[in-house]
Amino acid sequence: MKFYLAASSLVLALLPAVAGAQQPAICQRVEFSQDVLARFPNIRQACLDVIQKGGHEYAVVKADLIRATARRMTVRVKLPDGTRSEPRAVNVSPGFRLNVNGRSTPIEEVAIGQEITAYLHVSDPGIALAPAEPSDTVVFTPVPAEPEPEPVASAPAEMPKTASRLPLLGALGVALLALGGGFAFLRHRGTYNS
Amino acid sequence: MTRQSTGALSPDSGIIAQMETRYRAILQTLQYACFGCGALCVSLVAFARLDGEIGRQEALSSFVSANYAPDQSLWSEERVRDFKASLSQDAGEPLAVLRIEALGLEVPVYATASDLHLNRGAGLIEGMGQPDSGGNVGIAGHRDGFFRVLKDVAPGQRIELQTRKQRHRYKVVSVEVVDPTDLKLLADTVDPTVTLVTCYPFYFLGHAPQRFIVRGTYEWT
Repeated sequence: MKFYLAASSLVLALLPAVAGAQQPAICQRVEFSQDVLARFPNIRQACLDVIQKGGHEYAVVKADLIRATARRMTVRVKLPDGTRSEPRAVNVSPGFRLNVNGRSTPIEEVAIGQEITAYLHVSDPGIALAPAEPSDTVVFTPVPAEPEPEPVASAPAEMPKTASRLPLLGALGVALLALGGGFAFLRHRGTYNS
Repeated sequence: MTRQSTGALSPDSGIIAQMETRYRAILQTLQYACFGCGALCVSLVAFARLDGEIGRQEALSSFVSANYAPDQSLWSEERVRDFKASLSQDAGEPLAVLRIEALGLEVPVYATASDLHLNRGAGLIEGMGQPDSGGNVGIAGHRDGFFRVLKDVAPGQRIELQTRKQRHRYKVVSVEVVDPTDLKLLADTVDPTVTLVTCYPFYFLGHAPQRFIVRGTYEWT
C-alpha cells in the first residue's frame, strides 16, 4: 500500500515537469519580439510549434472562438493551465477555409465554441487563423497593445412579450362553465319548488 | 303551491305563472350561453395546448432529420453547397433545440419571439446574439407553456443549445426576477452567454408584472 502511495505521489510530482517537457523546444528557443511578448506574455507556454512561411516565423497556438461574424472572428488563445488570453480579433475574408477538428471548413460554417489553430507572428504583433491548406494565403491582423473593446451591441429596446392569453382564456372558460352551472341550479330549484 | 291550496286561481296567478316561465327561459338561455362560451374558451385553450405540443414534436423531429448529415464524401462541392442551402430555406424551421435535461425541457428555438413561434416553442429575442455567432443569446418562452419548468431551475444546471453547426453548452450561473424595464441582463457580452426570459410570477392571470431571467455562461470543452 505504501509503495502505491509513494508511486502515486511521485507521478503527481513529476506531472508538471512532464508537461513542461512536452513544450516543443523550438518554442523555448525562438526569439519573440518585446512587442509580441508585451501582448502575449505567456506565448511560450501557449506555443505548440513554430513554422516558417514567406521567410517569417510564426508560433502555432490553439484558440477558442468566442465570437464569429462574417468578416471578423474573436478568439482567446488557450494556455496549458486551462486559462485563456484576452480576446483578440482576427479579420477574415469570405471564402476563407480553416481547419476545424481535422476538417476543412468554410468560414461561414464556423461556430463559436470550436477550437481553432492560430498563428502568432514572432517578430511583429499579428495574429491569423491557420488556413485549411498550408499553401493558402495567411492574412495577419495587427494586435494592438491593449485589447480592443469588443463591438458589443446595445440591449434590445424592450423585453420580449412572453405573456400568453391562454391562462386568462382558460380561467374565463371555467368561470363561465361554473356560472352556467349556477344558472342551471337556480332554474331547477325553481322547478322543484313549484 | 299557494295557487293549488286556494283551489281557485286569482287574477294575478296567470301573470305570476307567465313571469316564472319567462324567468326560467331567461335562466335557461343564460345557462346555455355560459356553457357554450365556457366550453368554447376551454376548447380553445385545449386546442392551443395540443397544437403547441404537436408543433413542438414536429419541429424537433424535423430538426433532427434536417440535422442528419448524409455521407457527402462522393458529392460534388456544388451539390454539398445546395444541400446546405436547402436546410435553411424554410423560414418556419427551428434554428436550434434548447435542452435543460435536469428539468426535462426540450423545445425548438425559432428565429423570432412572435406569438406563433412562442406557441410552438421558444424564440430568439430580436437584437441579441445568435447561437453560433456568440454574444448574449436571448431566448424567450411562455411562462405558462414550455418555460414553466424554469421555476425549478437552479445554478449549476446545464443548458444545451444544439444548432446545425454545433452543440453549445452553458452552465446556469444566475436566476433573477426583474422589472420589465430592467434591460441590463439583455445587453451584449464579450464571451458567449445565454439568457432565458419568461414572465413572472409563473402562476398569474393576465400580464405578469415581472420577468424571470436565467443566465448561463459558456462551458468550454
